[in-house]
Amino acid sequence: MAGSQSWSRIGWHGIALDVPEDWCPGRIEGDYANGYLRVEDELSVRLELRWETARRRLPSATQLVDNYVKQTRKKTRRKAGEPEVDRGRSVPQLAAVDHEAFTWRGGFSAHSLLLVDAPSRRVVHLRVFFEEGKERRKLARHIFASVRTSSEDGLDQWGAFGLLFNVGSSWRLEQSALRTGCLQFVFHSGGDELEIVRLSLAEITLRKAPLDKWLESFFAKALRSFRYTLSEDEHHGHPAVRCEGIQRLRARPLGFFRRRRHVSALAWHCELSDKIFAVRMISNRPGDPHVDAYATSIACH
Amino acid sequence: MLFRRRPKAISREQSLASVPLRNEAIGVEHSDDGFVRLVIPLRASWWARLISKAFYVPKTRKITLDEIGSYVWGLCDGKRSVRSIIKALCKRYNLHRKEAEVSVVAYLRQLAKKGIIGIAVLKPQEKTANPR
Repeated sequence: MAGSQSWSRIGWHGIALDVPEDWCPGRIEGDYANGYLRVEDELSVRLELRWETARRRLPSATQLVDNYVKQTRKKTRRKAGEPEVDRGRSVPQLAAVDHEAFTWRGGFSAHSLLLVDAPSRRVVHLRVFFEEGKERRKLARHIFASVRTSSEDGLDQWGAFGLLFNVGSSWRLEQSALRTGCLQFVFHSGGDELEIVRLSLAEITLRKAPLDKWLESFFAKALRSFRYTLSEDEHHGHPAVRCEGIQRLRARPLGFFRRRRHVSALAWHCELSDKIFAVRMISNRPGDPHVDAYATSIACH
Repeated sequence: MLFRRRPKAISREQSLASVPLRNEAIGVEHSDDGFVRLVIPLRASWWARLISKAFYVPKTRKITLDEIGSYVWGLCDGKRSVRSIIKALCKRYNLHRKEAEVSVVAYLRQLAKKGIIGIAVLKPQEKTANPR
């Protein structure tokens, strides 16, 4: 069953995993240190992901599962009968990380994975839910095997609602939004700002204004204090617009003591997926190479 | 207001299975570019009637829907559920399910608030009888 399933990847605050294509985030809370992510299918909650930074000594996964099972048993015993807990399983793909997989069967079944990520000092608890009699072990196993908690080559994988990209691990998510036809992520790192946008219904949008005009109007607020130039380009084989600019002198109070900021942006229209993608960065470096690197990591079609 | 009973909150499943129905009193025209134009009759209050004796007061208000709005309006035929409208929109405009759901739900809510459509929510036992 899991073999014929099509998957999409979800990545949030350095934790990435595969989920079936029709599952998508329903509720997201918290930041890099502590947070919660709920994934739903069309009808109900299917997956819950919780992460928490250990304040003192990092506990072992077994200790944490012991504690969790004890606490949950205490709670559920009052409501329903004794639940069945199947413990001590491991995921071969996560051999390098301290972890334990276990299954909880009561009125429903919850396949859980608890892992302790030593480099980030975070405890990650993942639960996949199934109704009684509709359990899909292979699917849960695939999800567990796909979990990644550490960055590769200094890049964190971010992904939701079909948009997947990599950004440097120093970037922290400041804001994310899913509005009508628009998915937007804003990251901060030091004084730098990175924005990644995916806009659906591109054909309709571009009927009103060409891509360069769209870029100017979409980032109007951010570009207001910059003197910039737009040029035509190509990205992933699609028509693209590049924007390079430098902060206006009048936009810098005490300008003699501070470096002028630079803006770099790249927007392209993928005709195959009918979407516009854009990456915008404000930093101290002119023509920041990270814009191209992050834009390249976006698979648009 | 104090003693008004709050409407019961409906589940997500119920809201997706609910069926939008057009308000029969609203007229429909088509603009030159093929988009739907809604002709909404205005309720004449006593002061409006009084003013209309001296000035011109329009009897209807026209709202032109955009391309997607017109498409969704076309799907609100009293037979399709919100879920099937979302599916149709995903297919036609290559949207992610959640993306389409956010847009359609917000749009239908707006139309319902203005009284342009009504939403028929099925009781839980009626659910099985409703074809998706």
